[in-house]
Amino acid sequence: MGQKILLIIGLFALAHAGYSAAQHRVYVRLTEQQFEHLPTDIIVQTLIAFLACCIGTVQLFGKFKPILITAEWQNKTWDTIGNRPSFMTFNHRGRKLFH
Amino acid sequence: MSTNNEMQIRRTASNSRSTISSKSSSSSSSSSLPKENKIRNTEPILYSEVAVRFNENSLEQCRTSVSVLSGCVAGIIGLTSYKGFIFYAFSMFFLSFLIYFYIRNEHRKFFTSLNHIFINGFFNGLLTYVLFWTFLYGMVHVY
Repeated sequence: MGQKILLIIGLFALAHAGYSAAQHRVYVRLTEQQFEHLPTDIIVQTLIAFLACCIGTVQLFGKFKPILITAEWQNKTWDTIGNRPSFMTFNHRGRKLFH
Repeated sequence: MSTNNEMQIRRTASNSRSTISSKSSSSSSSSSLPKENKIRNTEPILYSEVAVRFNENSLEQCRTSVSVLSGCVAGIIGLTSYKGFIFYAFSMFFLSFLIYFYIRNEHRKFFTSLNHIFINGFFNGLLTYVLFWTFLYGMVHVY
């Protein structure tokens, strides 16, 4: 959950910036001014929200696995790999010897 | 036969830990198979195909979602024509640098070469970017 908070905040900030940009556009159209640029704070909010969302998605999706196949074999001993319990037989002469 | 292969691969890996070169010196102790060890000098490196595919898949997911986000940003800011494409290139480079900083010390452990994160999937998200760019531009600036 802590990983997703950055992403959720970034998405909300992006949506808020988009809505305020649309409102600014309507305002400029109503007062019949010439539209040149969006106000600076909307642009800054958009860029910071983009940065936060990027970091959030890389944290969320950027989980990689090691590709060398020996990386997962390093910690295994021969006893773990070579254990084949279905090949163990118990029907041998130990039954007569040790009873 | 498969157990012999496992033992051989593990013996080579424990002797030469972090070599990328294909010539690995296998000076194994008490080798019961001397004939195989002579061939062993040019052994190729073994990759796990599942892990390679998983890494490429998660890289592709990152790329798609970042191209969606940068399309939204370009639409909201109101970029037009060539500035939009420059912004797409900038966002792809930004994503590559982010991933590189996240796996800074062990990038050789996850990818065979750095080309995968920087160059290979560069234009994969272009159409997604243009879609969200035009959609958000229409939403914010036209309606």
